Amino acid sequence: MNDSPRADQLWQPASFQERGVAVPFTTPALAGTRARVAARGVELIVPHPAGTRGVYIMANAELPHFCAATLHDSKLADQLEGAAVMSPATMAHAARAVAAHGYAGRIARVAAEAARAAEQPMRQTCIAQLLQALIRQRRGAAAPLNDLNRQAKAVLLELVPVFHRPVATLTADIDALAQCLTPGAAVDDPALLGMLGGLITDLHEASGGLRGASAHAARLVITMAELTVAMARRIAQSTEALRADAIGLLAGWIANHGRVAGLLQRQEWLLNGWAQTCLVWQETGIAARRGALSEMALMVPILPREAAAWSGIDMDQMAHRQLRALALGGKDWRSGDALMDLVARNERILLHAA
Amino acid sequence: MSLSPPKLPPVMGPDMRTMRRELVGASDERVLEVLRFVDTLPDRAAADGLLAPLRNRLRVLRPPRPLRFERLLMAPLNPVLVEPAAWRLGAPTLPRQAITPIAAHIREALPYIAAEVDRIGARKDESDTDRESAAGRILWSDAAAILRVSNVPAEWSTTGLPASTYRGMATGCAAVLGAAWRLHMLGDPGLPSAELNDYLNALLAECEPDGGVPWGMLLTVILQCFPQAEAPLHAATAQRANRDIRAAAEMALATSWAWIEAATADPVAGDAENLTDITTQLHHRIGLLMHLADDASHRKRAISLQAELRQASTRLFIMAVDSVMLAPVALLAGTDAVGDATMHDLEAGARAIRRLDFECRRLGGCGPAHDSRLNDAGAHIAACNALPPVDRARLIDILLGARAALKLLPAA
Repeated sequence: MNDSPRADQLWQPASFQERGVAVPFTTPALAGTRARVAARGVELIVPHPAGTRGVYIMANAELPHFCAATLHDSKLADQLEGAAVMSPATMAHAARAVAAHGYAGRIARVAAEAARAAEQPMRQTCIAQLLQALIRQRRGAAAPLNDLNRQAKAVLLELVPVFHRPVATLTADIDALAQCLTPGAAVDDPALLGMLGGLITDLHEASGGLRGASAHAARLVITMAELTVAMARRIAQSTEALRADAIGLLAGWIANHGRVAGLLQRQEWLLNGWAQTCLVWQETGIAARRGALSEMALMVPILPREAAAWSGIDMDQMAHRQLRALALGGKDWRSGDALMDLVARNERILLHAA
Repeated sequence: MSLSPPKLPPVMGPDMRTMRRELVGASDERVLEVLRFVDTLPDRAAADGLLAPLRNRLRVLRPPRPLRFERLLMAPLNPVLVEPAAWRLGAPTLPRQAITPIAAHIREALPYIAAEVDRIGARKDESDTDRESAAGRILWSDAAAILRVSNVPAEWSTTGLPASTYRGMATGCAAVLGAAWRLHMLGDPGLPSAELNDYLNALLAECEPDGGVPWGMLLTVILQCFPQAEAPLHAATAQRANRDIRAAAEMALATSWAWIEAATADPVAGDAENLTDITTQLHHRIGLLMHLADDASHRKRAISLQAELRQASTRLFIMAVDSVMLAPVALLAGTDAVGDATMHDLEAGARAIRRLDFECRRLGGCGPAHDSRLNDAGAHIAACNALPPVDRARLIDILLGARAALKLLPAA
C-alpha cells in the first residue's frame, strides 16, 4: 500500500447500508470493523490492521483466516453468519446473545443478560407511549395509567373504520411500530449525543499540544463528531415531527412500514459506531491518549453521501477524505504486550455499548 | 572526584540490626505485622533499613498499603535510588536515606499540595499507577522548583551524609522531578518515535547546565523508562568534551547495565499484578538490551547477557505458570461454584502469563519450551470440572488462542 496520503485510496461508502453496522469485536486488530449483508452473504469491512489507510472487505466466514480473533469474536462472527438483515438493532441483539453465553467474561455476561431482560419492558413502554399518543390525539388528553387499557381499546375501535383494519391487525401494527421505536443499543440516542458532546469538548482541550498524525487524528474525530451531531439534531427534528402525529405515523406505517421504519431509524444508523469510539477515549488514561486517538481515527464512522440527503446538511467529502488520509498516516502501536490490555479494555467497552 | 563509601546512617543501630536478622527468617504473618506497624510511623527513616532485606518477600505478599507521600514524590526517581552502602559521591544516584529529609522538606514547603497528595495516596479504588499519576501531576514540578533553590534542611543530619552533598542531590532530584510529568506524558504508545526522540533530546539538553550528577540522574531515568528511544543511548555513548557529563554518562550506562543484570537473579513470580509489574520491567530491560546489542562496542556483553536473561526469564515463566495458573486451578478441585472474583483473578493471571511469554519470546530460543508449557497448562484447565466449559474456554483462549478454546465448546 502506498504511503503518500492520497485521498482517493480511501473507502467511501455511498449509503448507510453500504457503510454497514459497527461490530463490537474485542480483538484489537479488528477495531472499527463493520458488517453488512451483500449478495454473497455477510461481509466484514475491516480498517487496515496496520493502522494505515484502506480497508479489507471480506466474507464474514473468512475471519479465522484473517487474524487470531478472540473466542468472543469467533462466536460473534458465527452468530452473524447467515443474517438476512443487518441493522444497529440486529447487531445489538446478536452481540448480547454472544455475551450472554459468557464469551466476553462473566461481567459482560451479566450485563448482556440484564440488557436482554430490559428489552421486553422497554418495548412495553414504547407501546404504552404510542397508545397514549393516539389517545391524546383523539381525546385531547392522555389517559390515566389505570384507565389506559380501556381507553386504548376504545380508540382502536374508533380507528377500525379509518384504516379499514380489524382491531387485532391494528394491535399487531402498533406492536411492530413500537419495535422500531425501541432503542436497540444500551446507549440510547440522546445519551450518545451527550457522550459525543463531551468527546468534542475533551478533544478541543487535548488537541492544543498535539502535532503530526495525532493532531490530524484529533481534527478528524472532532470534525466528524461535530458534523454527526449537527446532522443528528436535524434528523431528530424530522423524526420528532413524525412521532408527534401518532395517527399519521400509524397511517404511514400501514401504507409502507419499510419507509417509516427507515425514517425512524435514521438517527440510530447515523450514530452507529460512535459509542465504541467515545468509550475508547473514556477508557484511556491521560498518558495514553495519542495511542487512543490513532485507534479512534480508524474507528470514526465515515459519513456516506446519503447522510447529506437525510439531514439536508452539505458536507465536503473531499476535505474529509484528505483529513482521513492525513490522520491515518501514523504508525500502528497495537502490538505485542499491549494486545492483552486492549482485549481486556474492549471487553469493558462491551459492558457499556452492547 | 573522591569515591568513598558513606557512613552507615545512625538509624541502623545494633538493636535494629538484630531485629533485621530475625525478620529475615520470620513467618509471613510476622512480616506483615511489622509492616503494618512501620506504615503507622510518622517518620519511617528508622524502618527503611529494616525493610530492605524483605523487599522480595513483600513483592510476593503484596499487602494492601497506602501510598505514602514519600513514595509518590520519589516515584520518578526509582531508577536512581540505591541502598546506602551502594552510594558513591559524585555518582548520579540517590541513596535511600536521603528520601525522608527531602520529602519532609517538600512537605513543609508545600503543605496544601502535600495534604492533597496524602488524600490521593489513601484512595483505595485506584491502582498504584493511577495514584502516582494523579499525585505527580500536582506535586512533581512544584517540588522541583523548591529543591532547585532550597538550603540544606535541618533533617539532613539524619542521613549521615555531609551537608555538602545536599546541593548536588537536590539539583539532581529537581532535574528529574522537573521533567517527570513530561516524561510521564511521553509514555504514550501513540507518540511517533521521531517526536519522542526530539522531546528527550530537548530535556537532556535543558538539564546539561545543571552539571554532571543531575544530568546523569535524568539520563539514567530516561534510559530505563524509554529503552526503545534512540536519544538516551546516543546521549550515553556520544563523545563529549565536558568531563563531568562524560563521567555521568558512563555511570548512567553502568547503572543501566546493572539494572538489566538484576533481572537475571532468582525470579519471584508472585500474583498476577506482581507478574505484570515484573513483565513491564522486563519489557524495558529487554528493549534496552536489544538497543545495546545494536551498538558494536556493547554487542558482546549484550549477547552474553541476553543468554542469561533468557534462562532467568524462562525460569520465571515456568514458575509463573505454576503459581499464577496451575496452583489456583488445582485448588478449585471439588469446588461447587467458582466465584466471579476468582475467575477474574484467573483471567488476570492468564493475561499476565501471556504478556510474560511475549517478552520471553523477544529474547529468542524459548518458543518450543513455552509452547509445551502452555499446552500443559491448557490441558490442566480443560480438565478442571469445577469451572464451567465457557470459563475454561476463556482461559484457554487467553493462553493458547481461540482455536484451542473452541475445541472445548460444542459447535454452533
